[in-house]
Amino acid sequence: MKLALEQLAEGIHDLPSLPVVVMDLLGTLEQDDVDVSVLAKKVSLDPALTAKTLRLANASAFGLQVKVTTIQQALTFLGLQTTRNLITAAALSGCFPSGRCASFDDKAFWRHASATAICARGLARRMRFNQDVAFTAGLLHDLGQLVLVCSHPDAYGAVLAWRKAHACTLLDAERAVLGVDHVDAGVALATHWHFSDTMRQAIARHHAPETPGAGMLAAIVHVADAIVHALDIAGDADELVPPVSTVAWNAMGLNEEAYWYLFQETERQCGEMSAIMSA
Amino acid sequence: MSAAGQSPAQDAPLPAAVQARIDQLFRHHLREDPAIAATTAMQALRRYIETYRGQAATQAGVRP
Repeated sequence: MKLALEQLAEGIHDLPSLPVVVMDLLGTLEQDDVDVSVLAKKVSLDPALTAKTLRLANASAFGLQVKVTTIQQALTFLGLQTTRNLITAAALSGCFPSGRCASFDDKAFWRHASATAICARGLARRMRFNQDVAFTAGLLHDLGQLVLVCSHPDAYGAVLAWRKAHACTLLDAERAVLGVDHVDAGVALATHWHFSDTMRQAIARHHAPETPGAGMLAAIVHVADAIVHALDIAGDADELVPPVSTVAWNAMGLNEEAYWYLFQETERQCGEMSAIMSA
Repeated sequence: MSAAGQSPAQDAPLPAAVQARIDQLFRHHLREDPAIAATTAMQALRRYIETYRGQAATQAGVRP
């Protein structure tokens, strides 16, 4: 049941394409000189993307006092960076058909991804790092799981059975059963979809933030991922907190009280967002 | 299970079911495999989660 990297690539080519406007957004995540009126027009041409983006924008995690009903309003009230995060999130969640693998819980996946995005944003704020880049990286970090589930659903069922039988992490189960893991699949997807080098590196190193050159974004996602597993937000019976790098943990420089508020913020804000993402 | 409005405090008792779930989530701590040994960071994270959950349980009036 081992997968060759070529098979991984074939599975990725079978996935739906990201809307062009989202590809553009991911390529300009760290730029502020985007023409927002052109962006609003492009997104508005896609009704499903617009509807989901607006539902996300009105979720409590984004703290709006008024209800936005157009992309232009979202841009006005939430700003470019947050709005493009939401457009990206809405587009991604529509790219992977749910229910392909009976033992894979798609809703739990999106609960984890949404919570990791919110937690990574909270860590970034405390560290004066780019919050929007951290949010997107948190959202994208485990997309490789969806690549594997969608392209090899039966094999991924065997991965989940292995994890249950051996009480190990998902990463270890994937390596044992498939010979590749969701990090490999995530990096292949990031390359296929032309994610930025920073984003690709965060996906590649979120389980290995001590690797030379991994960067602060990988450390943030690594710690956020561990926190969300420890908070048990996905509600997966076989869940296990992955090993936490002390180097990455120390790099956050936070005390217990700061973590406490981060736990509260993550739990409070992720519910509505994950419900929209998995709808 | 949010402990809204509270600050970290020591010695909040954890209900048995909550403690059991935390033990399960961090179960590789209980193994003697050096490849997955608990790091200092994991120990800190676990301690913070236990305190957080203990405060939430106290706030909700759940007995240990």
